Amino acid sequence: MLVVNTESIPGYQVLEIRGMVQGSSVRAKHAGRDLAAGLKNLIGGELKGYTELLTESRRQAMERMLAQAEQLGANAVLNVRFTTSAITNGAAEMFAYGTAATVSRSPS
Amino acid sequence: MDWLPLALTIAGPLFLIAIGFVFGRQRRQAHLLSLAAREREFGEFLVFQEEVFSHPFPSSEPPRLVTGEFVLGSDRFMSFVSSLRNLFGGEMRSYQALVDRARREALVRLLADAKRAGFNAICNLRYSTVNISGFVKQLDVMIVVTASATGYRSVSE
Repeated sequence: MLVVNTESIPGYQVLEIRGMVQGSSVRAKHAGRDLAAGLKNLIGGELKGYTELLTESRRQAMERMLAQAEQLGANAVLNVRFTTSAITNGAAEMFAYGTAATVSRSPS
Repeated sequence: MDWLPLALTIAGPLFLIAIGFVFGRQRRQAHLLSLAAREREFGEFLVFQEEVFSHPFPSSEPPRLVTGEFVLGSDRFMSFVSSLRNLFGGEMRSYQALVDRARREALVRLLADAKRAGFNAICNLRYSTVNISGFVKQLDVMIVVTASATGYRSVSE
């Protein structure tokens, strides 16, 4: 599966657009991690627990998006965008969306 | 000893602000130093925000999406100063510097992801920024930055 955030890929031609695909994930940390982050907020700096959480969220959102693309019989997802939104205290939603398409290497 | 509870209520937050000032500055400076060093390391990287691939790449190595995430918290001193700033209005420089630093780190992480994949160029760089501290303690901010781009290996002609 070819995944890019550009509309087209040089050397490849888009054969067919299969439709929009999306995946999202909302995650929160357990209370212990929240407490640790609260303490970290006193002295500033990276909140590692939340960074890990976000990476997991992003992976999951991507996986869900790719599963949809596979279902549509696509072999590429173009123009992928990510947005993050705050849902509640210490929880973030990661949303990934893109256009599923079938592409093939253009004859050169 | 009537004054003791009052003194404690004032001293408690002041103590936390002082801790925030001392450790926050130390951590910020350490981070800025390490950021500068890692940015130099990626000096050769071709970073473009345009949607087009400005450099040719071999068809045997297709491009791929690369990402970088970073969550950065403010310290208590910064939050305190910003709450004062909130009274008078104007530019919140400490928060602006905070968001700026978070974006730089997210970009460096994105470039590290691209480098691991064997790429030396990225295009179509996008940022998404949000504060997830919630609605209770609004001044202690937690900035989430997600950077995404398409990485590829450009071949110099």
